[in-house]
Amino acid sequence: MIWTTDLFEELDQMRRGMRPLWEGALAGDGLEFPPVNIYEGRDEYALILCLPGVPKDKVEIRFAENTVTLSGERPEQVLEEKSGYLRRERDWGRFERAYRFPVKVNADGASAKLENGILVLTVPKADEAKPKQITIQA
Amino acid sequence: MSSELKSKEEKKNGAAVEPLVEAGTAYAPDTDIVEDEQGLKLILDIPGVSPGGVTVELDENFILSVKARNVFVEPAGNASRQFSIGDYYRVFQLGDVYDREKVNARLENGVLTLTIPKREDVKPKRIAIRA
Repeated sequence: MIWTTDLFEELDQMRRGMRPLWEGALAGDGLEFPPVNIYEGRDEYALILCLPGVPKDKVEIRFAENTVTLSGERPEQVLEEKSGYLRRERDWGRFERAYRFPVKVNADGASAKLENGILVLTVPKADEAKPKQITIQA
Repeated sequence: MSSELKSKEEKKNGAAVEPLVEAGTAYAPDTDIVEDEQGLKLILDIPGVSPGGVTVELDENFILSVKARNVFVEPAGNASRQFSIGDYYRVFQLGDVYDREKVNARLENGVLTLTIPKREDVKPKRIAIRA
């Protein structure tokens, strides 16, 4: 089998496109939109998505097997007649991101808030995954 | 929702204007600029900014500046980041055909939309052809 340059380019693009955020990251679609920050606290994880201009009802959050999938859409702006772009920097379109948590989480205790264009998803760790403090006996 | 629109005139009249953006912490927001016969529309992504946290100025040299304070508070913990949280600042040089008195600013879901109409005397005129 002959490896063509194109394939290598494609692989390279794939590699650059996939941005594993931690070891358990399942998928990155390679799109710039939306950027995601992930925070790990002692008892919970927080995922922050930059979603300016995306209404609440355009975002879907699903849990399955310790994996959360966030998907949605930022609609493309519809231009009026006889108008045109002088500059176009904002991304638009559909997105989907899936993250598998490295420890067991309590999906039922998750909460999400979308405010001023930033989505905050808070996912508590399962009780058995939380760090335990051991009291030293006298 | 509407955002604050402060002109230089207001400043001169002594209205309190606090520095919205501190040096070295500001990001240039992604911006779309749309033009039509009526004027310009600027659309800026400024996630994390609440209404009232924006200052828009169009000065006598038609320099448009947008400053916005990010009020989002990052969660605690070890972070893996694709974006940084900070204030926003961006400056645009416009042509001198716009009406400084009629700039309209609207902030919704972290998106700032500025509508800047052209002056009436520079808008295209339709000329009727006589028979």
